Amino acid sequence: MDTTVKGQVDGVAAGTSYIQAAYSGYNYYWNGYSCLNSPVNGDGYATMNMCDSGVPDHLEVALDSYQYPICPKSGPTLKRIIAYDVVDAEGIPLSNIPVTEAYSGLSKNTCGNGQPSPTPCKTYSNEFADNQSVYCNNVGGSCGYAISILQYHWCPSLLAQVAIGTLYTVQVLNNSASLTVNGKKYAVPPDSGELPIGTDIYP
Amino acid sequence: MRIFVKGSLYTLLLTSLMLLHAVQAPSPPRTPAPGFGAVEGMVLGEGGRPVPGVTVFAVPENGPPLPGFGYEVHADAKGKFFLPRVWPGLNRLCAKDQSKFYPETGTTFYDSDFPYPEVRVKEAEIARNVIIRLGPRAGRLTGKVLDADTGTPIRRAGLTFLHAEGAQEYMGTTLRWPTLDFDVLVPSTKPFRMKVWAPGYQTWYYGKDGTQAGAEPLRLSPGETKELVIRLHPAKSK
Repeated sequence: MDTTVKGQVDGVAAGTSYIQAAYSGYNYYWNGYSCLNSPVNGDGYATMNMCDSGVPDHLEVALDSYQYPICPKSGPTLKRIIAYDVVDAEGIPLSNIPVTEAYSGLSKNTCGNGQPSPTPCKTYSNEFADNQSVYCNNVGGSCGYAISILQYHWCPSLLAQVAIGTLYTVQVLNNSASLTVNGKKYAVPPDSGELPIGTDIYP
Repeated sequence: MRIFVKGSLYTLLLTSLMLLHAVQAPSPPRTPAPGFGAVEGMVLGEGGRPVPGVTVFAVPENGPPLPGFGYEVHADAKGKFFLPRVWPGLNRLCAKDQSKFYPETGTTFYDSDFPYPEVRVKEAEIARNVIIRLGPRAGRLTGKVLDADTGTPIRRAGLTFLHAEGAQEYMGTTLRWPTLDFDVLVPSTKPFRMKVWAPGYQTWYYGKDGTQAGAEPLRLSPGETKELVIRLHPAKSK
């Protein structure tokens, strides 16, 4: 009787791994008089090579822009919008990828309108856009918050989250927004501080 | 044959039950997300016509900074929307749709004939019959930025939109990756100036000769699309 057990293994990164299966049971045999059995066990393994195609690996900057929404009390308040493509290790854009974000080292928001919170896991058909703004508040002057490390995660529903991009020293003020990527600071305004499109952002 | 008849009757019964279920199936409950309020309403565009598919979102007047990826919904085919995750307090209800020439108004760059409605939202309650009016439609600038000597696209180019007369910056943007082009909505309600820059190149201004001194205001009509091919000269050749 064929008792093959089938399954599926999902890869989350490139590399080589192996899968191992162990079994135990009994061998039944007829000795001419009666049916006897003897215990049997063993294991086996197979090597698995995982390539990168189709696996979220890092981010590419698709667009960096800014404008000034008008708030009733705080006046024009900067909003920077950075759009990213999720790509595999070969730089091929992926679609329908669930993404979330995580903050480390969040300072107090001196605009007094509460603390920002990371976006919950959400699936994007192609690129996703990250808005950076203190939004409307009652201070109306120089204020804002900083995040030491802002990390974007691929968040598949049944697997552990995997980091796909990291920004450092993110500072969001009412009139400017800056971040550090690959050791270089990009602050807007001025417009020359926009992230170059096509920049690879790694975990 | 008998089996076939039985099968047909069974299929008919099953189909009837499915149809009955489809007719009677209640729509999913529309309730605010825990800890939030909700807003239900409709988006009307030029001529008071519903705008299907438009993106709708709420901005609190003094609430915490929105999550980075924002929270938005799309209006249905009749222009109706339901936002289940709105911060309790006073909110501005906003809508935008790039493909239909409706930008996110309420900024220094984009004006509107109709201010966004402000709605006071209470936790666990639904604010109903909110009407968001959009219009007039914006104009659209599309195009590419090329090296004047080689004719190749410049990857690091950026666009900045300025006040028609003063130095005030309305908006800045990079080109779009990987197409290396731009597709930007611009107001039809007022003139503005436009400059294009890139590291290692002379900055270009919209106008008679591309210089800052010769810069001219630009104004598009509602729904108008203008295509520009901008050639930047390397700074060294100046």
